[in-house]
Order: sequence, then C-alpha cells, then structure tokens
Amino acid sequence: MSMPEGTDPPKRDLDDFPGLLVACIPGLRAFGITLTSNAERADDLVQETLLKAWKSQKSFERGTNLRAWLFTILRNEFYTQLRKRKREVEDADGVYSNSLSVPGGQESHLDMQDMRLALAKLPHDQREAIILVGASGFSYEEAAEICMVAVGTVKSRVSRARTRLTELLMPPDKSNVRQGNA
Amino acid sequence: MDEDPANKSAAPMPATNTKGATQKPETTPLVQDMIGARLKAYYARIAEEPIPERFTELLKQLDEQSSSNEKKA
Repeated sequence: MSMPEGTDPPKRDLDDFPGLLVACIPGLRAFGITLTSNAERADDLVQETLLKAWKSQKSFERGTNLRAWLFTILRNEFYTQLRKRKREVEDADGVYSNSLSVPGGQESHLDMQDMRLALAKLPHDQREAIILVGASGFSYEEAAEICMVAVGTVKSRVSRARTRLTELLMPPDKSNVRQGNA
Repeated sequence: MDEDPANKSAAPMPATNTKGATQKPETTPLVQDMIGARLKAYYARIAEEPIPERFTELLKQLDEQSSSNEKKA
C-alpha cells in the first residue's frame, strides 16, 4: 500500500480496496451490533457503510486509517437512521434486544446477554465511547475523531460508561444474583 | 465539562489504570478491568462470526461494476 499517485487510483489499488473493506467487516458488524442491539439493523448499517465507502473511495486518503474512516461512516449512518426512527416511533432502548442471535454455550450466552442488556442501558454517547476505546481498540484520539468531540469528552464518557456498566453488571447487592431479567 | 457529581474522583483513565483505589468498591480498577475484559470478550465473539455472504457478494458486484465501467471508459 504505497501508491500515493494523483488523479485515478491505479488498478492495483482498486483491486485492493474490496479486500481491505472485507477485512474491516467483522469489526464494523460488532460495532453496529453493540450500537443497535440488533443484528439486522447492524447489518443494514454495515451495508450502507460499505456502499458509501465504495462510492467515496477516491476521497479516502491511502495510508490513513481506513478502519477509523469506516467506523466514522457507520456511526454517522447510525445517527441518521436513529433520527429518522425517532421521528417515526419513539423506540425505547433494548426493545430489540431479543432479536439478536448470539452463538455459543449456555454460560457464555448468559454472559453475552448480560453485557448486551447493560450496553443497551447506556446513553448513546457513553456506549459508543466505551465500545470504541474499550473494545474496538481505538485510541482516545481516534475515538474523538470518529465521534467528532474533544479527547477529554471521550475520556469522561468512557469513564462514566465504565462506572455505569460496573453498576449494572456487578450490583453491590451480591445476594441478588439473578441476571438478565431487566 | 459536565462532570458527574457523584463520581468526582473518577478522573478519565485508560482501561488498565491502576490508580483510584479510593473509589467506591464496585468501581475499583480491578472490578472495572473485569468488566473491561467481559466487554472485549463480548465484542470479540461478535467479530468472530463469519462474514455474511451478502457483504462479500455486494463487494464482488461493486468491484465487477467498476471494472466494467473502466473498460467502457
């Protein structure tokens, strides 16, 4: 990947681009699913993201962070759709949480379920911050660019998200071990 | 900055931070690390799922389209 040429990207880069996109799909899906709590909506977001990325691939600067660029597109699409949906129906968070299928064994399935429900209870800004920094492997700086806010804002959102997740997943009342019945 | 008043001591910190032991028990770094690990595991599980065919198909189509457009041009 070292072809910083003007005008039309060389054929090799065009060939390369689909492969680079494919490599980012698992992460994009995970981001989408954690944002929406809904596999179907997440995959629609991923599809939109891929289409938009494809259309504007010439504006993508080779050598810069493709993954961050794609996450930014997906996030923008998420909020666009969210605004549309809000106008149509007032969706409560977590309404869709049952429609997500997660593979796996019994115990880890419960674990996954708990995490999903807890994430769904976070405000959007905290949720995306903790996912980007705490799970997707972005730096605070990258997350700040993706979310278009200051680094300090990301830091405080991550911090609050962490505290809130801890409260939700590890309630101080240890006698109440029933989980996932929110 | 809009600080949460109930949580003044929780300065922004990276996932592996080991400071802040004076916080209330459920938000100690150790517990938060556990939550962080669970979140990572949750995310990784989703990311391990096979890529749905619709996406590889879509990219194949787009690729074919653009190369046939190129030939026309």
